[in-house]
Amino acid sequence: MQAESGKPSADAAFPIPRSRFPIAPLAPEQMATIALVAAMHFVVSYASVLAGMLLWTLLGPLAVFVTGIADQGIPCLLLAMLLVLIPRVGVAAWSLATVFVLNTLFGGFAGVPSLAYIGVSIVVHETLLAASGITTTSLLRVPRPRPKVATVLRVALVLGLCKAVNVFAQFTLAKLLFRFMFADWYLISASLVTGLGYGSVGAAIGLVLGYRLRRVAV
Amino acid sequence: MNAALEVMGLGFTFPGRTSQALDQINFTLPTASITVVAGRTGSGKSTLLRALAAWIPRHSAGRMTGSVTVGGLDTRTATTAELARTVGLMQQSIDDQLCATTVAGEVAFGLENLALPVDEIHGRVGAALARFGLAGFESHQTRQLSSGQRQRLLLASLWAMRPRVLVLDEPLSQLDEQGTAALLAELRRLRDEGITIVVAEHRVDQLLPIVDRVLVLEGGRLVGAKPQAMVEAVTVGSPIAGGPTIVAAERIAARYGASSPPVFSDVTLSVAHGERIAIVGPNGAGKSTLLKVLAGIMPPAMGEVRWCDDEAGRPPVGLVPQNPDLTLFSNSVRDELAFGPRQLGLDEAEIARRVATAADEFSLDDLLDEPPQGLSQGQRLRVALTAAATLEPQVLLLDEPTIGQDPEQMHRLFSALVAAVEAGRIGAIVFSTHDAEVARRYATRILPLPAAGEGRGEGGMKRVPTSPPHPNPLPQGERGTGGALERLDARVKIVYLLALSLVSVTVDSARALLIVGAIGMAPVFALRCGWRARALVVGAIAATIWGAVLSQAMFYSFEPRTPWMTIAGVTLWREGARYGLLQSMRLVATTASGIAVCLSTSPERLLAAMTRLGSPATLAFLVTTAMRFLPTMADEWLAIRLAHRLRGYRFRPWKLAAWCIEAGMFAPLVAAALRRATTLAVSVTTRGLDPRAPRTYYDPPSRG
Repeated sequence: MQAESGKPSADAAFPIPRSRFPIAPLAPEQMATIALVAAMHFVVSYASVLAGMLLWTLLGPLAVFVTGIADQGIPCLLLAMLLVLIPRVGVAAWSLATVFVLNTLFGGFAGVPSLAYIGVSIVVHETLLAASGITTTSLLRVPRPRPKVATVLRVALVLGLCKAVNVFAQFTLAKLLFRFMFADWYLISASLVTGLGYGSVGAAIGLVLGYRLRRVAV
Repeated sequence: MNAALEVMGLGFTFPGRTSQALDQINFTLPTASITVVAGRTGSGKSTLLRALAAWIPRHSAGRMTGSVTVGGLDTRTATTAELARTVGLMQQSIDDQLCATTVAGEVAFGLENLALPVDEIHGRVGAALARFGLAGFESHQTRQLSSGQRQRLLLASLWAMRPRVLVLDEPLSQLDEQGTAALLAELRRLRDEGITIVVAEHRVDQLLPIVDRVLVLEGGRLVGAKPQAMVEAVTVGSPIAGGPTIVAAERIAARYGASSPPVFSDVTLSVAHGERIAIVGPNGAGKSTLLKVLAGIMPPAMGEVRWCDDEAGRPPVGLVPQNPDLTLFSNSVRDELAFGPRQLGLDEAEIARRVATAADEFSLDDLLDEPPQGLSQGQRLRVALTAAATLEPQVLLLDEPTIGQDPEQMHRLFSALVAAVEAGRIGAIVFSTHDAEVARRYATRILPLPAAGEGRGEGGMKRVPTSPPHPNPLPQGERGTGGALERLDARVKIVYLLALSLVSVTVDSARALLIVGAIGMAPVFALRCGWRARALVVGAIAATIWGAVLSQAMFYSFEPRTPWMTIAGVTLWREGARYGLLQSMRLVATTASGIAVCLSTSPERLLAAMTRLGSPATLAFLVTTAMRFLPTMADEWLAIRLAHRLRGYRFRPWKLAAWCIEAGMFAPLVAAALRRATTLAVSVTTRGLDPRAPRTYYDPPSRG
C-alpha cells in the first residue's frame, strides 16, 4: 500500500514497473459480463466450501456426491450461459481465474496446489472448448431464439467432460501433492457422477438460459 | 461563439430495428452553458447522450449517420483517451457506474486509464474529493456512501479528468428537493468554471432557473428549443373518503437492526377502501421502509399493523418494488400476469378473466406473448404493476413508480390504476414518491414522512442500511486491525503463503509435517480479531483435519492395517486415520495461513498487492467489477424472492414445479445484472478504459 506521500517500504523488494500489462483485448461490456458471471460462480463456490466442510465431517469422502451439485453442476450452468453470451476463446479462462482470485481474497485459498489446480482447469476448459468448436466456430454465434438439441447435447457433453477431467485432475493432484490415497472406484465414480453427470445437466440448463437471456437482456 | 459541442445531421438506428432512434439532429452548444434535453420516455434522450459521449458509434452496435464534434474532436475518429479527457458521461443509475470499491479508487479509475503519473493522480484525487465535499472519505467503501454522496463522487470522478463537456442523464430522478437544490448549485458552479453541461431530464421545470437552452426530442427528432407541457395538470378520479378501513398502523416505528437508529417512528396511518395515498418525504425518510412494514415483509419495531377481514377473501397486499425488473421472471407477459392468480389456486377461467381484464386496462393486449424482460423500461414497469394488480389485492403498494417515467406514461399508468380501484378490483393504492407534483395530481390523500434526525448524512441523505460490501462470512469489524500482521505489506503475505504451500508439499517426514503445520497456524495467533473470526479459523482447521482423517481411514491401502470401525459396511482403518492426521498438516498449513492473511488484509489491498506482484490487469479489473456486483446481487436475490412471496408463491420442495420456479428466479437476477453490466461498460469506456492502451496503477489508501 502506498503511503500518503511516499513509496511503500516494500517496493524495493518488489520492483515492478508502473505501466505494464495492458488490458487484454476484451471489450469492456464483455469484461463486465464475465465479472458478473464470475461473481455468481464465486457466491456458489464459497457457499459450497462452507457447506462442504460440514458435509465432509459427516459423510467423509462421499460428500462430494452432494457438494458436486454446487461444485460442478452450477458452475457448468454459469459457464454455458456465459459462452452463449460471449462465445470466444479465453472467456472460460478469465472467468475461472476471476473466481480463483475471489476465493483467494475472501477465503485465503491461495498456494501452489490451488494454482496448479486452476492452471489445469483453465487448460482443460480452453482446450476442449476450442477443439470441440464451441469457442472457435459460429456454433453459438448464430442468432436463434432457442438452441438446437444437437447444440445442447454437444455443449453439455463437452462441459461435462471438462468437469470430469477436472475432478479427476483435482484428486490426482491431491494424491501427488498431499499424498492422500483414494480408491480407483472412488476417483472414477466421482469424476463421472459429479463431473460428467452434474456438469452436463448444468451445462444444458445454462445453455437454454443463455439463449433466453441473449434474447431479452442483451 | 465558441462551440463546445456540434451535432450535425445525427441519426442512429439500433441493430435489428427499421425505425430511427435519432433522426437528423442538428444543434450547436456554446462553451460554459447548460442545456436541457427534454422529451417523453423513449424519445431518444439517452441515445442522444450516449452519442454525445461517443459510446455511439464507437462501441454500440447500430448505424450512425451525421457527426458529433465535442471540444473540436470528431467522436468517430478521436481516441478513447482524447474523448475521456474531453467529455464525461453520468448515466441514470449511479450505483451501476461506480467502477471501484473505494472512494479514492473510484476517482483514480479514469486517471489511471489516462496513464497519468501516480503523483498527479494522487493530487487530482485529493483535489476532486475536496472540491465535492468528500475529503476524508478516501478509504471508504463506495457502498457506505449515501445516494447523494455517491452522485457527488461520480461527479468528482468525471471532474478529475478535467472534461470540457459533461453529459448527465436524469440526475434529478432520485433526488429530493434538498438534493435537487444542491445539485443545481453544483451545476451552476461547473458552468462558471467553463464546463458545458448537457442534461436529459423529465423534471424540466426544476432545471429552468439555471438552464441556457432547452432541446425537445420527440420520436428521435428535435422538435423545439423550448419545453412543452406534455400533460395538462389533472386530477385523476375523484377523492373518496369514508370507505371501510382496510389496514390501520398505529404509532409504528421501524429500524434495521437492534442497534441502528429508527428509520421512522411514531407513524400512524389507516387506509380505507378507494383511497390513493401518496407517501412523500425527503430521501431517507423511510418511504420504502414504511411500504415494507405495511406489506408485512418487515415487522415494526414498535406499534402494530392491523388488517381488517376481507369478506371476498382477497390477498392483503401486492407490492411493486423500486426496480420492477426483479419481479419479472416468466417467459411471456401472459404467464407473468397469470402467475399470481395461479399461486392463489384460482381456476383457469378466473385466471384468464383476470389476465384479460388487466391486460386491457393497462394496455398490454399487444404484448401478451412477448418476453417481459425484453420490453422497454416503461413497458416492464407496466407489466410488473399489472402482474401485482391481477392479484386484486386489498391494497396495492407501489414504491416510487414514477422514476424514469415521463408525465404521459405516468398519467396512463395512474388512470388505469384509478379505474381498477374505482371498479373495486383493487381496494386501495399506497405509493411512495419524492415528487410532490405527482402526489398532488394522483393521490386522494398525501402522507408526509418527515426526515428523522438520526442516522442522516449531509444533504438530507440517510445512510441506508444495505447488505455488507462483501459476502464475507466475517462481519465487518471482525477483520483484524492494528496488529503486526495487519500492518505487514500484503505482498509479503502472499509470498509467504506461496512459499509455505510449496514447502508443505515437498516435505515428507512426520516431524517436518508437524513443523509445517505449526508454522501455518502461527499467524492465527498473531491475529487480532473477534471471537467469531477465531471460531471460523478453528472450525476450518478442525474440519480439514477430520475430513482428511475420515477419507484416509477409508482409502488407506498400505499393509499392515487393522480395522478401526465399520460404518454402513465400510471399513475404516486405524493406520489410515493416523496417516490422514499427519498428511492433513499440509492442508492445515495453507488453510490456516490463508484465512489469517484474509482476516488481516482487506480484499482491495490484497488485490492491489497481487496486481503489483504481476497478475494481469484484466484480472484485477474483472475481480474489482465482480466485487462490485456481489452485494448488489445479494440485495436483488432477496428482492426477487420477496416479489415471489408477495405474489402468493410458497416454496414446496416436494413439488417439481416449485424447483422450476426456483430456477426461474435466476433469470431476472441475471437479466438485471446484464443491464448493469452494460451501464458499467459505458461508464468505464467513457472514462477512458482502452483494452489496448497502457495504464497506470494507483494504490489508493485503504483500511486494513
